[in-house]
Amino acid sequence: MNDDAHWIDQTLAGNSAAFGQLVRRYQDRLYNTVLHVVGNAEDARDVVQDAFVQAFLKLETFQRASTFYTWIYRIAVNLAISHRRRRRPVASVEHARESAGIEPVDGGDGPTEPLERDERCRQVRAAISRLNEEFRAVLVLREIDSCSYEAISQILELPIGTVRSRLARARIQLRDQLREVMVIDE
Amino acid sequence: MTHVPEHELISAYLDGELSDAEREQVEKLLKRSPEARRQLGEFRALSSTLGSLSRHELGEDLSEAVLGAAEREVLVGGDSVPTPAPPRTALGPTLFRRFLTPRAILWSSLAVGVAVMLMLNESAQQDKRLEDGIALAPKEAAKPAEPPSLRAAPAMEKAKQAEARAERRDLAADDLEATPAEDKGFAGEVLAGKGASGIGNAAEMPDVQPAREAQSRVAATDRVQQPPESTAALPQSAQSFGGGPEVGGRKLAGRGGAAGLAPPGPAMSAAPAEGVDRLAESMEKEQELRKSRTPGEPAALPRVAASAPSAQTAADAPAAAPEPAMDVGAERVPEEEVDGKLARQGKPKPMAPAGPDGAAFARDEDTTANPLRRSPGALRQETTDELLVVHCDVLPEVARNFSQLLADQGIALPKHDKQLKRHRDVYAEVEQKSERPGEQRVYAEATPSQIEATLTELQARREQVARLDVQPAARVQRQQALTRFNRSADFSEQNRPTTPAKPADLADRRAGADRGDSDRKGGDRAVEGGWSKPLAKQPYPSSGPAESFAAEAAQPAQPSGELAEKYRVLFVLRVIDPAAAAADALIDPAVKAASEK
Repeated sequence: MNDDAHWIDQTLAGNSAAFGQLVRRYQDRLYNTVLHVVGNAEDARDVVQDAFVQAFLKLETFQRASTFYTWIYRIAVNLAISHRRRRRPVASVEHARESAGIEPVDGGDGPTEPLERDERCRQVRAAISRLNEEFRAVLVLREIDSCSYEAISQILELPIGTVRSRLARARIQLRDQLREVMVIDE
Repeated sequence: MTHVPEHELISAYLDGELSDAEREQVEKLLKRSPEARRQLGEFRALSSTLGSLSRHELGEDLSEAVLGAAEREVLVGGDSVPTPAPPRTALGPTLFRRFLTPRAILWSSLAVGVAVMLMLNESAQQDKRLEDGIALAPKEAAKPAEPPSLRAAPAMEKAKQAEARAERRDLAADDLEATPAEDKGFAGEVLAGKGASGIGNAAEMPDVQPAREAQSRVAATDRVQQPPESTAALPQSAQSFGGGPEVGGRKLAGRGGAAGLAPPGPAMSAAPAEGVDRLAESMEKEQELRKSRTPGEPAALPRVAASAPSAQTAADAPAAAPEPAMDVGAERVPEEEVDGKLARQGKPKPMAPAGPDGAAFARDEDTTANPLRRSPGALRQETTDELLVVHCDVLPEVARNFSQLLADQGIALPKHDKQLKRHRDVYAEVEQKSERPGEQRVYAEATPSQIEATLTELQARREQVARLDVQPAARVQRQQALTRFNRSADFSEQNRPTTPAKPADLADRRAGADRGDSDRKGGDRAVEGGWSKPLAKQPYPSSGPAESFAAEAAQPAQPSGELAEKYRVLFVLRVIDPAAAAADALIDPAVKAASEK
């Protein structure tokens, strides 16, 4: 995290390349989270890029009260939620899969492609995609990105009690959708 | 304690985000409830399922795309890039290269040449004026008063010049004396004095580039805003070269009749005609304001009398020399005529200065002489930077509840730090001059009526307020009238009044002075034991052309006028000890008894 401060200082001092270090450090982690929120690889990439652009332009306003990671996540998640609201009719994984006949989550070139074809993963991702926005963001941040309640609270700017409540309800909703899969698992 | 659903506790238990008490509660629940255990198992399985999802990676480096998009965003959207620090290169060689271009050398040479010609020309004219005017001034001053109507116009002009010079020296001495004054110092004078150098600089550079039109306008506005003190504080050469407000204004006006002494100054001759006319009008308005100040006003004399001998000599001049005439722009009207007009209007002849409250406006003659001072920022915001400082010695409870007191009068306090900083910037001089430990400063914006109501309220709390001191008193109201006058869209040559109508409030003030003002102390106002007289109910006493001001004041507030009607007020509260105040007889004895209880 001290490195983050260093790169931020360098960026503010006029060294734009320093911001590239921050981008490289967090882009994949951010992308993985955003992908589960927006449900589309292309949109997820755009959202991540937009988030970094916004962060670069507003870097002067970054108060450093939280970590850069939290701050960029907050930007990205808000962008992702807004993006999904705008493109809701075509943004769901289910819709994309049904319309295109392919799994759109991944580009298809990664080493994890065989796993993505697994039916269970597809069902899980579809179930996440069907969650309400407020529940999905909390669930993804906790289950996919292993954020603490406090971090989720900062990213989504919610009280911790609300985070806890929404997460529990999200789990229940997701459990109801994936009961068969999990029963098989058990 | 609020009831937390079991599933929520179990979910948080799974994540290890429970408090100790909650964890114990959940563990007890899990022991006794198979349903809870099942739910925990489902949550755990779900978490395991989600955790088994493969992580996706972008597979590309976004940094280039991000920086490129940011650059486009800046270019298209006008957003700001993180400000890069300027490279730390040696400044000298850069400047050397920049200013050693042939074009720069040519322009610099031209500028220097024009400046030298200006200086020579101005110096010659100054010498001539000194011969014509100053040499006659002592004689004029020593002569007994003559009916102005019997005088020839040139003689009147010379006497007027002498008076004006004496007045400047008077004000300069006044300013010198006022500088070391402790907390009574008026920040506006200091600010104006600082602005003097700016005037000189602005006038020194010939305006040969059309692109400097806006700058010349600002300079013209600044000249209007400069009080005579600042001009007097300048060296004589600076006055002649830079063209002090009155001298330059008359020259530039080109319609000054007897006052038109010289051709337009080169510094402004290259300025657009509109700017020149605007400056000329401003100068004339300033002259009107200055003319409303009559010689021998008692409030100014104590300060002058205590100043340097030269100032004493200067003070004698306006006192001894009769005011030959009032002039507005090109016309000069005998004082008799003005007084006759006032008499016809049913107004008493102004004899001596005093505020309508008799107590609040002790230094009004100074404010009369001060022209409008507004910064470019204030002009844009249609507000004035005029200062109103209210010093109060109060008991602690008043200080504690002062915000509520202001709120009761509808006075808004700064809502955010930026606004507060703007106030502090305006009052920076006051802050420096009156810095005392234990003082409480309250910044506010208020209309004159709100200020009046607040002062009346403070006055009513005689048992809690030991001292109430207002500076600079009527300036705000007068400046408000002048501000409206300046902004008046129909202000033009034909409806500009040709006679300097005496403002009604000035007459009232002088009548008040006739009644006597025992509270005056050395030119400053310090009303011991409370506010002795109520403030004038007239919100905008006229100054200058009374008819125009009255018409302006009668009009409903313009859409943008709400801000303009508010002034920045600084309440400086000095909290005093009740017992000490009672011992000093500052506070009503009843309060002492109450405080002892």
